[in-house]
Amino acid sequence: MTRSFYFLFLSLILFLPMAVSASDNDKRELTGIVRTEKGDPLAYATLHVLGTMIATTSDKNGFYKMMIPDKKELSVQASFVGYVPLTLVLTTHNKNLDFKLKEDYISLSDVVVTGTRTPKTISEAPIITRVIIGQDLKKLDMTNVVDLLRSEIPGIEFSYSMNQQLSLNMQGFNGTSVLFLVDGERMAGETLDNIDYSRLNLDNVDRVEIVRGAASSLYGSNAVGGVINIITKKNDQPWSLSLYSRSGVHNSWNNNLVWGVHHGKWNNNFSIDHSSISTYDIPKDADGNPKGEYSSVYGSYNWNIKDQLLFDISDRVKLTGRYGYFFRQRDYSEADKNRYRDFDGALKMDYKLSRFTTLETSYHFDQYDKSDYYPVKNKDIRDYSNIQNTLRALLNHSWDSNHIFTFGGDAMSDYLMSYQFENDGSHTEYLADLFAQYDWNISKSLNMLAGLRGDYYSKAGLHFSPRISLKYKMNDYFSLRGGYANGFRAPTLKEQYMNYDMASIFMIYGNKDLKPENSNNLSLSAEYLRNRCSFTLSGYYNIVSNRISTIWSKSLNGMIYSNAEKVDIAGADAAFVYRSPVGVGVKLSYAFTHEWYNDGANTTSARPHSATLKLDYGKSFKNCGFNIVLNGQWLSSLKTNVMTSSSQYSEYEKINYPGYMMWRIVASQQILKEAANISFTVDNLFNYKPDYYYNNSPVSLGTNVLISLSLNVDKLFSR
Amino acid sequence: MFSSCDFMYDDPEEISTSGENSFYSLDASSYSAWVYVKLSTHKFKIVEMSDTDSIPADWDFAIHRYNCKTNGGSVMETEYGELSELTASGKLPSGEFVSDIMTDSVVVSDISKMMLGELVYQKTNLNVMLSHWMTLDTGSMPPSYTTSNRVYILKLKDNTYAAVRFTDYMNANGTKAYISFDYIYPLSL
Repeated sequence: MTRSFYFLFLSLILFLPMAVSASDNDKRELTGIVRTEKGDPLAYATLHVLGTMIATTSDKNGFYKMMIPDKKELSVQASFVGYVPLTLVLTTHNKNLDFKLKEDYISLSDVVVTGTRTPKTISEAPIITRVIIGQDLKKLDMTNVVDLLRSEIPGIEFSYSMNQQLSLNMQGFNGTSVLFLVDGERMAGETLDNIDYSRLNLDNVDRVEIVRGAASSLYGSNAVGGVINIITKKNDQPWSLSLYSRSGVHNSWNNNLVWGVHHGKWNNNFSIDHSSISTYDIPKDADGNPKGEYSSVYGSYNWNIKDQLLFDISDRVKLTGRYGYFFRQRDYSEADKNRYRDFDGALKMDYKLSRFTTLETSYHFDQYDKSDYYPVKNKDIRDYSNIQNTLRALLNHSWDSNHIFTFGGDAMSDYLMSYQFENDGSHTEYLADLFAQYDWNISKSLNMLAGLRGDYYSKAGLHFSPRISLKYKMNDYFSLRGGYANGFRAPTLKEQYMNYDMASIFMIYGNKDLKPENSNNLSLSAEYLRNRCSFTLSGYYNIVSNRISTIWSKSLNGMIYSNAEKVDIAGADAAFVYRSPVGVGVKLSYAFTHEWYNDGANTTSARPHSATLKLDYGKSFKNCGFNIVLNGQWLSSLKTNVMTSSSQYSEYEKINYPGYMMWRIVASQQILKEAANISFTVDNLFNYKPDYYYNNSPVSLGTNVLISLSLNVDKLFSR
Repeated sequence: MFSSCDFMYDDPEEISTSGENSFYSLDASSYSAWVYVKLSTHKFKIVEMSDTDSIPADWDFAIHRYNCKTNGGSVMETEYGELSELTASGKLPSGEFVSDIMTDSVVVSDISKMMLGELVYQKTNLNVMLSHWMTLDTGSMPPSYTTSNRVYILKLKDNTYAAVRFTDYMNANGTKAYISFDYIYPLSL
C-alpha cells in the first residue's frame, strides 16, 4: 500500500515538468527609472513582469533595463522594501516605463504565501492574511509564539488543559482545528490535542502569517479554524552573528545565538536557543490552600537547535536542507521529570521550469518523542513517539498576470507509539492527496479563487475539500471579499485506537469508525487600505458537524471518542492600523465569537469578546535609535459549563470565568550603530492578580520586569 | 525506520515484586482487590474482594490502591523520614497507636458507574494512620499525590513490632497504585 503511494507520487513529480511547456516568446527591451514620490531615484528596486519569472533590479540611479516577451499586454510591478508596490500595464508600443513608488507605512508591501501558496503582497492577496514581521517581533521583545499570538491577535487564547498542558482556542476552534506550520511543514506530536508550542521559538523568524477560516482545499486536515505559518529568516549577509540574552522573574532565562554564512552558492543559517524557568507557587488562601486549580507552575528548560543550508545549483534550481533538534524537560515532580524531544530534517528543491512555471518538491521527516525521566533510578523511559515522513510537490503555473494555476500533492506516513494504546503499542496510517487551485483576475476589479483537494487516508477514507472566494476591488482603496471554504480534520490515530486508563478514574477508548470532522465556512469582509492606515472588518459563520469528542458509553463503562458534537460558530473581527507622519503607530483589533451547541450543554471555551491594542513610537539617529511599544489585551468574561470533581466529572456545572486585561510596555535603545540593543520590559503593567487561578487565568503573580540584551556582532564590523 | 533514536532511552524495568526487606511495585491498582502482606514470610497475595475464601489465614496488613488496613493491629506515625533514623534512635518513639476503624465510605470497590454519579464502596476495616502515608487530592485534574515520607510502626496482633516506610506509588512505567515499601521485621528496639 505504502509503496504504491510513493511510486505514484514520484511518477507525478517526475513527469509533471514534461507536461508543462516552457514557451519563451520573442523578446524586446524595456527600460525606465524607479523613483520615490519626492522624485529621488530608488536603487535596487525589483521589477517583475507579472505572471512570469522575468525580473530585474534598478541600479543606483534607479535605472533598469530588461528583456520582455513581445506580447500584447503585460503588467510590470516595481517593488522595494518599505514602499507600496506599483503595477503598471504595458502595451506593445511602450519601450519605456517609469515608476513612482509611495512609502509604505503599514507594511502593505509585505509578501505573504499562506493564503494561496503563491507569493502575494498583503494588499493583493485574495485571502486576508495577518502578518507579524520580524522587525515587530524585536520591538515587542517576544521569544515564543504563544506570547506573540496572545498579544497581537484577539480571539486567540492559550490556557491550561489538564496537567498544565497548553491548550489553544482560536475563536471557537481548538488545537486540533488550527494548523501550525513551520516553513509550510506540519509538526509531529501532540499532547491533549495541541502541538508542542515551545518548539516555536522566535529567535530566527522572518514573519508569522495568520490566516483565519477554513483552508483544507490547500492544506488538508486540521485547517478548519485557520492556519498559522511561521517562516524562518534567510541570511542575506556574507556573514552574520547575533547573540541575545533575556532575564526575568522566576529565574527565567532566554539565550540564543544565530549564525549565518553566505559564500558563493552556499548559504547556511544556524541557531541555538536555550530557555529556562523555575517552578513557582501560586498564592495561598488563609487556610494555606492554593487559590487556584493548581498549586504551582512547573519549571522547565528547553534546547532548540536548527540549521538550514541553501545551495543554488543554478539560476533555476535551488536546494534547501535543514535539520533541527528540540529538547524540553518539565519538573513535574521531584521523582518524575517529563521530557519531550523532536528530531526533524527536510530536503527541498525549488525548480524554475520556465519563465511561467515553478516546481517545489520536498521530503520532510519529523519525530516527536515523550519520555519520563526518574532521577532516583536514572532511567529515561519513552512512552510516546510520533514519526511523520512527508513527500510534497507543488507546481505554480501562470499564463500571464491574470491566471495562476497551482497544483500539488503530498504523500505521508504517520506512525504513533503511545502509552495510551493497549500494551504501549503502535499504529501507522498513510495519506495521499492531490489539490488544484485557480487564481483568476477576471477583470481589473474582480478576482476569483477556486480550489479543490482530495485527501485519502488509509484508515479514514476519502475526503474532498472545496473552496471558492471572490475579491472585488471597488477602487484603489476599498475592496470586498467573500467566499465559501471547507475545513476538515481526519480522526487521529489516538482517537481511533486509544485504550487508556485515565488516572484510574475511568477508561478512554478509541473508535475505528470515526468520520472526519467537517466545517463549512462562509466569510465576508470589507477592507480599506491607504498607505498610512487600514481598516478591515470580517464576519464568518461556520457549520461544524461530526466534531470529535469523548462521550460516556454505558456498554463500555468508559469514555469513547465519537462524532458527537454539532456546533455553529459565528464570529467577527475588526482591525484598524494607522501610522502617523510623526512616527506613532496604532494597531487596534477586536474579535467577537459565539458558539451554538446543537446537542447537549454549551461547553464553549471561547470568550465572546476580546481586543488587542498596540501603540508604538520609535526614532533612528545616525548611530543609535529607540523604540517604545505599549501592548494591551483584553478578554471578556466567559459563561460556560464544565465537568468538575465535585460531580465526579459526571455532570455539568455552570461557571463564570472573569474577564481581564494585561498590559505590557517595552522600551528599547539601540546603540553602537544599532549593533546592540537593550530592552526593558514591564509585564503585567497594572499588576493584575486573579482572585482565583483558573486554568484560563493569566499565570502571572503581578507586575514583573524583563531585561534583554542583543548584539549583532557583524554590524560592529560593517561600515 | 520506526525505531530511531532508541539509544537515548532506557528500557522499561522488569517489574520485580520483592527484595530483601523491601517490596517493589506491588500491584494494588485494582479497585476490587486487596493485596495482603505477610512480613515475617515476605509474601503477598492479591485477593478479589468477592473472593473472601482466598484471604490468607495469616497476614499483617493489606493495601488497596493507597488505603491500608491491619489484621487486628495498630499503627503509629513517627517523625522519622528513614528507617535508619529510627534504628539509630535506639528506642521506640512515644506516641499513640491507632487501631482500624470500620468504614463504608472510603474504599471504592467499583468505579464503573462513576460517570453516572454512582460509586460503590466496600464496608471494610481501614487503618487511617497507615493510610496517611499518601494524601490523594482528586479535587484537581489530574489528582495530586502527596506522600508523607514518614516511617510507620505497626504493632501486630501477636504484639511484635514492624517498621514500614513507603517509597513509591507508581511502577517504572509511571502507572499509579503500584506500591513500593521498605520494612524492618521484627523491630526490636
